[in-house]
Amino acid sequence: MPKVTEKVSQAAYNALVNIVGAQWVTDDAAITESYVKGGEIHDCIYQRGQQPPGVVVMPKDTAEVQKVVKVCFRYHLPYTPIGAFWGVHCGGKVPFHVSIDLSRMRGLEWDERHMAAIVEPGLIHSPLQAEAQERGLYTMTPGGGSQAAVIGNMLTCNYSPLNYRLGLATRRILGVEWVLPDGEVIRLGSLSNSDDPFWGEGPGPDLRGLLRGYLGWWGKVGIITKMAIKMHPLFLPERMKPVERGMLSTLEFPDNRIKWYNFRMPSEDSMRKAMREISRSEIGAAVMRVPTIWRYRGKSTSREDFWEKWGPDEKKIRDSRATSSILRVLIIGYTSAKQLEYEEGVLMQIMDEVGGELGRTKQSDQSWIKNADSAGMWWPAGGYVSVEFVVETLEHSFARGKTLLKEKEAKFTPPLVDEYGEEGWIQMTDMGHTSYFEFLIQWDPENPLGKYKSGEYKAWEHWVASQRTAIDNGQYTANIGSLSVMGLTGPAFGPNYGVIYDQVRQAVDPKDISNPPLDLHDRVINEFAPKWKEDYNFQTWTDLMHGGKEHWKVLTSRGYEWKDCLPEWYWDRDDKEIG
Amino acid sequence: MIVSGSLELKDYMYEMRRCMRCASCKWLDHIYMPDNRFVYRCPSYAKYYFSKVAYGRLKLGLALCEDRLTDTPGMRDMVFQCLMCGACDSGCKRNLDLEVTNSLEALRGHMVEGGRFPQAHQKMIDDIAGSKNRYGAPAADRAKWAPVNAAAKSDTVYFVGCGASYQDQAIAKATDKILGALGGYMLMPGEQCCGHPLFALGHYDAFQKQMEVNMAAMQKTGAKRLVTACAECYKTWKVDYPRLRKISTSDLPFEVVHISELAAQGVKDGSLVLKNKLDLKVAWHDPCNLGRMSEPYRHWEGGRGKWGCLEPANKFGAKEFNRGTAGVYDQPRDLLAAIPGVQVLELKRHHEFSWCCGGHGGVPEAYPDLAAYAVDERLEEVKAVGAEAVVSGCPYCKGQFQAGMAGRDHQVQAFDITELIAQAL
Amino acid sequence: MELKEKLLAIVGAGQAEDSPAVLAAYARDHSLVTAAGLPDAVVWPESAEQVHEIVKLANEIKMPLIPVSSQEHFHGSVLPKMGGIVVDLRRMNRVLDIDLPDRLARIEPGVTWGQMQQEMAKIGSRMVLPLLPLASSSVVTSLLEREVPTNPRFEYGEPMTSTEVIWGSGMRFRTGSASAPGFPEKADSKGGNPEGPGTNWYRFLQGAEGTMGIMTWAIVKFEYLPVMDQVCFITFDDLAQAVEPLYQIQRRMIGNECFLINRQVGALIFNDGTPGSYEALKRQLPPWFVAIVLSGPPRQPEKKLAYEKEALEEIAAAIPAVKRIDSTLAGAVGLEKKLPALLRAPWPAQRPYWKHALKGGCQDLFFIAKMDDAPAYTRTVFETAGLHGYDVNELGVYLQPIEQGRACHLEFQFYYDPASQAAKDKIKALYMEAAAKLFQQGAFFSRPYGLLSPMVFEKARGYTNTIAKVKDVLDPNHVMSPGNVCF
Repeated sequence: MPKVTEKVSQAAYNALVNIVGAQWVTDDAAITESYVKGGEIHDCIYQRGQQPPGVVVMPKDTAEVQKVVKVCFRYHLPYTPIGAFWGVHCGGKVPFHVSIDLSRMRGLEWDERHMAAIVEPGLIHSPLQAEAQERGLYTMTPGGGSQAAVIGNMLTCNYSPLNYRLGLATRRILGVEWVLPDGEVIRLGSLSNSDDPFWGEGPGPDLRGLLRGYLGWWGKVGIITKMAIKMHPLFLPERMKPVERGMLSTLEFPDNRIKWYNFRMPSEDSMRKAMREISRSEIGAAVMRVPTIWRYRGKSTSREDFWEKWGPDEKKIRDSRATSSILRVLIIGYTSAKQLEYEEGVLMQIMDEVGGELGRTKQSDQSWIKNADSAGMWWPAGGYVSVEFVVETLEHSFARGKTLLKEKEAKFTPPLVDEYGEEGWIQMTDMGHTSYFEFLIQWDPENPLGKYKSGEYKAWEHWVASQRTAIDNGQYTANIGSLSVMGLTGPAFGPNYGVIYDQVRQAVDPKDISNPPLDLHDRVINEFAPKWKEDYNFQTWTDLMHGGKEHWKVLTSRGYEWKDCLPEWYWDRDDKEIG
Repeated sequence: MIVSGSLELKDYMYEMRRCMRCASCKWLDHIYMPDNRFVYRCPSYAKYYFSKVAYGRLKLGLALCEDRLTDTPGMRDMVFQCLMCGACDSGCKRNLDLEVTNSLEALRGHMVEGGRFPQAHQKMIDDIAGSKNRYGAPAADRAKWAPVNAAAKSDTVYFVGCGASYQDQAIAKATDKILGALGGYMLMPGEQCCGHPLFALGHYDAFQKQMEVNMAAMQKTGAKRLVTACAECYKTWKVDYPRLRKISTSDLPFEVVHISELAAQGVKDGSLVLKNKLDLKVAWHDPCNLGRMSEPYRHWEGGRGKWGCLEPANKFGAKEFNRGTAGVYDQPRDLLAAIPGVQVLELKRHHEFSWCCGGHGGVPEAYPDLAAYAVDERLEEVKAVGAEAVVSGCPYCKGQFQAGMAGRDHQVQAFDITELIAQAL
Repeated sequence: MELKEKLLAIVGAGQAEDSPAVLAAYARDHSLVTAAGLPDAVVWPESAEQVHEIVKLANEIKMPLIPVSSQEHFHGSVLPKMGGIVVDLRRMNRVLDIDLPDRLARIEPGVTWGQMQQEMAKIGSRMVLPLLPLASSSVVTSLLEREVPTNPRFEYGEPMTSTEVIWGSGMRFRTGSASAPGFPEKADSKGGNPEGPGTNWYRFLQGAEGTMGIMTWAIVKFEYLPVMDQVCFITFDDLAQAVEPLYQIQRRMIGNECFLINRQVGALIFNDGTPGSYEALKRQLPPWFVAIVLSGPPRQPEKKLAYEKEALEEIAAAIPAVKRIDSTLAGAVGLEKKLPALLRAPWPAQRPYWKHALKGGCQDLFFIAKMDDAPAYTRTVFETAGLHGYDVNELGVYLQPIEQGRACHLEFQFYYDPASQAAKDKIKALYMEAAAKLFQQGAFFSRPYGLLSPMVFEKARGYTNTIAKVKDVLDPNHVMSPGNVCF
């Protein structure tokens, strides 16, 4: 198949060089080739056919970003902003696009007294947390891991068990500097009146609503060049020390201010009661039910070691799941060591009442201070995606878990990894008002038994099917911001949120140049999986939505077919069973 | 069939496909990341940005294997603006266990086979072929540094290497003194370059020739132990020679040790007494080839089964991964701490995520700007921790530090560890 | 058909009016803003369906709509600036659901603080309130307008989650997780997530003064009532001394309700309404004081109070300006017993509103600031007040720490006689001058009502242009509350 990359016009290229200097622009294919997400992992789910950019440009500051965006606006060049490139949506979908790689913009300033970090888009969580600790502050590292960009993550997910106390990220976003798709720079919150970004909302209606969504725009409404982030006062008199190295490296907890507890709960009902009672008693820093597979993963020294243990334990795990599950609680003495003592006392009292049995656990940063899971998700099988990661209420979490498990076991296991009846990750958020639920699936993308990619197709279908079950059961779902399934969710949620979502985007980005989508999903489904349209009642959103159409016209005018935009492997696969 | 240590690019398709660009190859270990100043582990990325880091090179390798790319004006730089320092590999091994360094080595080999390598490398290749050393100096001058304690016959061979033979003879002399104190040694008759630069540059055929000559010479001595005071020679003898012979390090008929290992053992058992006081705050720089790159090589053959699990072929056990944590790390630190008056400081990037000095991988020859940048960064770290001297265990690191000091406001001393030990004896 | 008839056709007999006598009540409020005239009509819908029809009608006839939820108004937001139909939502005052385990209540916009207080009492719970609001004020409006609660402990999250809104375009829409199909009867979703679908629509409704659409219900958070409280007071001679202790108290997460007021505000809110009570307090209260309520949840409450008190004592010992932690307040006998209940309820309906008790009227000047800057802002206001001949002994000051002391709501209260045009003019001049100076100094007016909006939105031009683009989608005919915010 032809390779769909092409230079932008020489005039536009020269303009970019004039802005950032020749050193910071390239159209060399040896480099642009790697500006797609690797491994056909997340991307197979979210967007078929990411395309390498025609040009990569690396501005150093807001002024350069603004000029680059203005060039893109003038020449009608689609662009894709990139922070750390952790999330798959960083990859451009439109051929010939410009990758605006913001990695040089790694700035980090502090207002310690008012607990704010002012960060640039290339900054990731790890140095933020390291410097925060030096200043008596902390934040949480999200599930995306320490290598996820702070701004990119704040705009989309930013979930962690610590959200039990810290709430949703949306309120942690303070003053923001934002380059709109036409190159105009706007400033949100207190930045609208001064150079101090300490406050995020207003004036008047809160434009942070446009900034962050559930789950956001993925770079479709411009580029954030600066954001102040609310931090939290560190509860420790001294720093947490790194111990061990390599796979086991972690931060050691001092024993009097932060402590993990693992309880074996006799039933799901006792789990519920315990979670409710903990939040009613206003104790705890994190409260969660962790899938068994992550405990096995945590104890393994390699993938092979993991499978050696996990594989034969099916019966043991299924049996124990029927009678018990593990509740994990983190307690922090925010005010003093005595708070930890007090909360521990209350926790034990609750567990006595509901029959929780205390087990062993390591007292170190197993996750969420600096040690979040990051790439480890891909480790057990090579392919991974979170089919669901939704914030709703506790009963919703239990219900969504049961719905997804039922479907996964009935239709998609194998090729998905069998988790022996696991109903997903559940944690309390917002001090128990809400709950976070995550359902992770794993598969082997290189299944050597033939059927190349078949695991991946099933993962994709499971993901599509999961939107259908959400709609059928009135369940909320994290994936409704994804344009790939707009044909399912667009009319159903809101209802008809897809229409105004698209209109707002059109208003902010009239030329449709900021990380534009391509309506590839519909075309892929039409061609390969027409049955899905019937099975899942898929509507085509190509007719509903503005997004992507313009670029489609450009592509066809240059003689490209939609099939040209698919990745090479798509054509090489042996498996034609889909649809 | 998977054969560990293969130098064929197509044997790393799994690695290149399954890299999901998490960038663990670029960022410092997140637990140890000290601040927002020293965040990277990859000097190439830190200097050039874009995707000039392992994930970018793996994607390039994939495109080459899949015939989607042939050549581009920037391809050579993309591949060779890399120090081959292995920092990326230890990052990946924290999560994904992909053989990143091996993939990069194979990519270099692939480029070299196609004749696509920097011309600046050619002189060194020719010099090794001609003069049997990397400098093109007369072969006869190799032992001009005048060893004092060398015997004609010993169980221990001191393999001096090109650096200490020609450029920094103080290291050779200091090593001579230490080995003298530890019971003596012999030199390898007709010592030649170990071939390390050839390997690092991706010229594996030429490297193979050097290996055959050196292995034969070593075996001829009948010695049981080969000692080096050069991290590059050390890695070559310990890892690359057995690797090319498809045997494990433990299967070599002789032991390969770095002088710091030997000396640390000597201090421990009392055969080496460090008595002279040296009031100095020193920072130990972990040379890439003494640390993460020099874990014992364990040859393995097998295949990849369900879930991507590695399944050993007959006679092989489960694959043991080299994750960079089992290099020579403690001994040099213990040694320095044993010198009266010496205070050992830890740099910001240490052990398996140590920052390369910039002297490796053909970079000083082809991309002096990257070599200069890398060492300057390291000297900034030395300054940040407040050390008065930086100490290493490789003549090329020391050479880099000395060169890097030129023009800097903040001056520190640069030593090889052998020099400090010799002073303390 | 006349406008009134059209409205009556939607809402039924007696629920729409256009007589000047009725309309006049909607053309004045407690603010310094002057209405341009009377509205064209007022309508009292009782359901979302009716509101939906009204919005559709307004689009057809291009008539402005002014949604009104509370019964008294302070900011000029509901005054007709270009005529139009006042949509008075007071009949939509149902508490639709109470979800005790999740501590979420779905309520209509006409539900008042007074009403909510009674509902909460029935289930041993409470809302987190701003400082003594009117009992007749709408809970939904208060939360939408981001009125700052006296209890910073619960500020980690959004006070309101999912909502239903009729956008100005006439589209009926549920924001947040209540957007799930079938909500509420046939959905597993309980509406607990404010975000999405897609983007965060609820944010556009905040601080919007009714310019985007009309909310027909909202899900609001409530909390359990503590079982034990202990009130602590710290007194100061001036505001500057209070700043450091407040930073430290908040940073260590001590207590629930916590704020700083001056003697003037204290006298207004703590007097018992009997003759001489206000005057006595005005004489006896300390010039400035911080009130902190330590509270214990149901389990082992005394232990929680003990460690919080100990931490408070540690802070006191380390800061010389803190002479001691008092369990009573000089001049206010028994206040320590009454304060928790006082702060967890609106102002008693039977008494004149505390802000109006002194002179009949009060103009608030409030904004978001850093506590470190509070002394300088206070100086500016006092100096300006002095220049305008305002008696600074009658200037109320209220400092509410927010988000663990990261910032604060700083409020100045100028009391005046609203019947006197001269007094009104004087206060207006003082208010405008002080606001301009504060704005210059960096004060952030996050909800710049009425007279302040031109100053603020003019400076935030890029922001204003962008919010206008969103408005064009949600209210394309600009029927919603024209003249408010920057529209």
